Amino acid sequence: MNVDRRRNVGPANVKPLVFAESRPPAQHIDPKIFLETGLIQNCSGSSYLENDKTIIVTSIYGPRPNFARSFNDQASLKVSVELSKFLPLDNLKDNRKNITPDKERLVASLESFMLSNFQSLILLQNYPKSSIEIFVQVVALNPAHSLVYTLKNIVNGVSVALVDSGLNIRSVASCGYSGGADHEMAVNFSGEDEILGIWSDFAAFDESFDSAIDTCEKDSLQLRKEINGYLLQKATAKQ
Amino acid sequence: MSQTASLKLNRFPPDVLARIAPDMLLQKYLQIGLRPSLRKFDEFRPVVISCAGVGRYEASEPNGDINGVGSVLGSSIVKSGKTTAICLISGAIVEDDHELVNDYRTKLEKDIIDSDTHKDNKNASVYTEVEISRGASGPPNEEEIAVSHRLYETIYHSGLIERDALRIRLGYKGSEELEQEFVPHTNYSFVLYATIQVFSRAGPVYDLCYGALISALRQTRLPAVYIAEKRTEAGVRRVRVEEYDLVCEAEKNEPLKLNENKIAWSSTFGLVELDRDVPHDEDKMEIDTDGKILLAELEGEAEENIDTRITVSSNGSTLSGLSVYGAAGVTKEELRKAFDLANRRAQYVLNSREMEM
Amino acid sequence: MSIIVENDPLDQVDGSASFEFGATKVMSSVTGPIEAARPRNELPTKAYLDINIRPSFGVPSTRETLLEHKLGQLLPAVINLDQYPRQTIQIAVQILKNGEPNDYTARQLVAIINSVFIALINSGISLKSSLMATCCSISTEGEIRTSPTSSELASSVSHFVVVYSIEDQQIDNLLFCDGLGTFKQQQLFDVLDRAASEILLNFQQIRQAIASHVSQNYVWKA
Repeated sequence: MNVDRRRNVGPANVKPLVFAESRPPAQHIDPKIFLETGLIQNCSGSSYLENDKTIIVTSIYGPRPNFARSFNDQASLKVSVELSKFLPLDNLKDNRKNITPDKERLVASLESFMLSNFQSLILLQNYPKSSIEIFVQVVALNPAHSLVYTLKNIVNGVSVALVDSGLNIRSVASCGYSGGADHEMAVNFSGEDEILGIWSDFAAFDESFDSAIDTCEKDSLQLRKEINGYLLQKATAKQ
Repeated sequence: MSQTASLKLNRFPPDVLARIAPDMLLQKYLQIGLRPSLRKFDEFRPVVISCAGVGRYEASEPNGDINGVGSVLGSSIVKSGKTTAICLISGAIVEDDHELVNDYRTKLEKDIIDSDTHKDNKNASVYTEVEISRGASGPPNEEEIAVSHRLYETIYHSGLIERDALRIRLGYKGSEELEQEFVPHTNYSFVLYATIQVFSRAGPVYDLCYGALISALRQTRLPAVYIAEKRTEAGVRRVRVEEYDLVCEAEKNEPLKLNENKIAWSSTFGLVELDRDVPHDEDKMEIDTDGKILLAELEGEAEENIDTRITVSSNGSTLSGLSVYGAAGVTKEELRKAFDLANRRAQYVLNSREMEM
Repeated sequence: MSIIVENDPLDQVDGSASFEFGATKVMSSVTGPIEAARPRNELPTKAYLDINIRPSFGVPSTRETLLEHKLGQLLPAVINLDQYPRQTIQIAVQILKNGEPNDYTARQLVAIINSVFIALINSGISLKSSLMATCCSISTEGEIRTSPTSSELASSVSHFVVVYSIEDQQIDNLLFCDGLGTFKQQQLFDVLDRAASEILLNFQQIRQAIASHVSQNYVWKA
């Protein structure tokens, strides 16, 4: 039997709260984004992203000395995604399977996607013998947001936090989203025509796939403008 | 040939000195009557309490339409200085007579434990998990566990939440009362859970966590519960097993009843002695005291080094949850001073909060 | 309160003691100063305290961690940690009898602190002062009880663990005080006074137990 001795988890025989079917959450998505950097003090860079009641807090620590035994000629990158307890995860399902995945597996797949994305964005070779850690905390989640849409928000939150941290990066990444009735896609662009990662549920690569990428690119361009505008404004305000 | 060696004085900015010689830095500040945070000795940090508004039943809040889904029953955000704590409250349902402790022990000697522990406890508490963001992952560390469990203990013993307040009065769907003969033999109660996330910590976090937890509990609304139209009753060797599907109403709810006079605010103080051996400038010497100095709400590396501390909760006049420790020893006079400050602080925060919420 | 102290019941550690009062019994052992087990526990200027508390049944939980944390707040005030730089002092505590309801730890904490103190003396670790712990409760009528029993604790409004240092057989400083439940300032001060006189009284028993143990150890010298 596995007992968590580090948390006071309360009685073992509890039943989770089951709520009666409530009205379906509003499906329209408000694209407005509120961004703020540097709210968290004791880290190298942080961002706070709020989009339609979804709140994502990102903090970046590093470069810090890496105490691993072996010598590494470039920084090791670690991404941790944490979904707060009690979040409504029902909508974070994989469209292809239409089941709500296990929280741990969900987090693991988000983490590995982000890791591969940002490994090629951050100039890790500039930081030998160090480690860089990215912590993403999803504090609140709009139940209407799907997994792919949330992923887009997370990626953009991390991008802005990376700029705030002053770590060497190739460019400011921005992630676009395209959602249709049956397919969803999020594409992370590091520049024009340069894709860092694609998360989609397309089974075939037909025209709809191409047009989804185009939509994502447009979305990403728009977002990049906004992000750049915010960062510029922040940078000039400092001086 | 002679060589002269010269030593160059090193100058450190305060934040560097705070790390390499925290006691020295603190003494330097105290000499001129200030603290490293530039606050006065008995000055608290401003505190802002607001609703996170992510709870299921917090429809009237500006963030309200996120509600209706999810199992968050109450929430709060408390900011003090740069430090932020976010608290979310959720729950579950437990059968009263079978509340088990989640442990090996229950599997072994349940009967003994039941008869031994679950009598006379009219108080309930919140199972709390504190998480201090510090750039590391993994299970909670000792500090987080200690703060979490201390919150649990303090709430439990303060009598803020009575067991009765968590008891579930079952009804039909809608508003009808359940008829007597259909009332199940077992009683059900809510169990409350809380998770507190602390960002940008600077100094001890217990006060802030306590504040966040209390504020979230005040916002907490418990769902109305009814029995779904499924009931199985199986008799195995004359042992009657009843099983019900308990369903929470999507919208109907009522606020969690708290003992209002037990709502308190916690304050932590550090006690430090002025060190006469630290070189000082007589002219600039602002304070002249032989006793120890009481510092309200420690903040920053230099002050975290103070190892004589007083933590106390107060509802404005009555105290609860006290923790005093330190090598220097604490006198009654110092305790009195700390209690006075804690009372005044509690009156101020608890009253101003009313206006904000 | 009747106290039963057993000195050095364990022979594979540097010092040990069991402390029993009423329905509560705790056994503690001290090993050290020893080499740090992990590099990060090697503190350059002082000894690292490695405290482990085991409950009377089951596995340690957050409750025991909080007790360890409290012990870790108290002990640096009495142990001369800076005499043992880069070393570790291991303190292992086994609770044998709770003697109080599951949601309370006051009696156990008292027994832990007292047994650890005696074990520290038996181990020969350098201490700054003597100390003793006691617990008090305030009943619903406002009456103060020293060393309350399990049922007295369960019906009390508040309860306290108080530790004073003792010098020249006199009460010296308040080193530690832990209070749960609600109380008035004056009530706390009354509790502190009662605790102080209680400690002064009971410390004689501990002193005697230690004295007789020392004279036994040096019986060959006489």
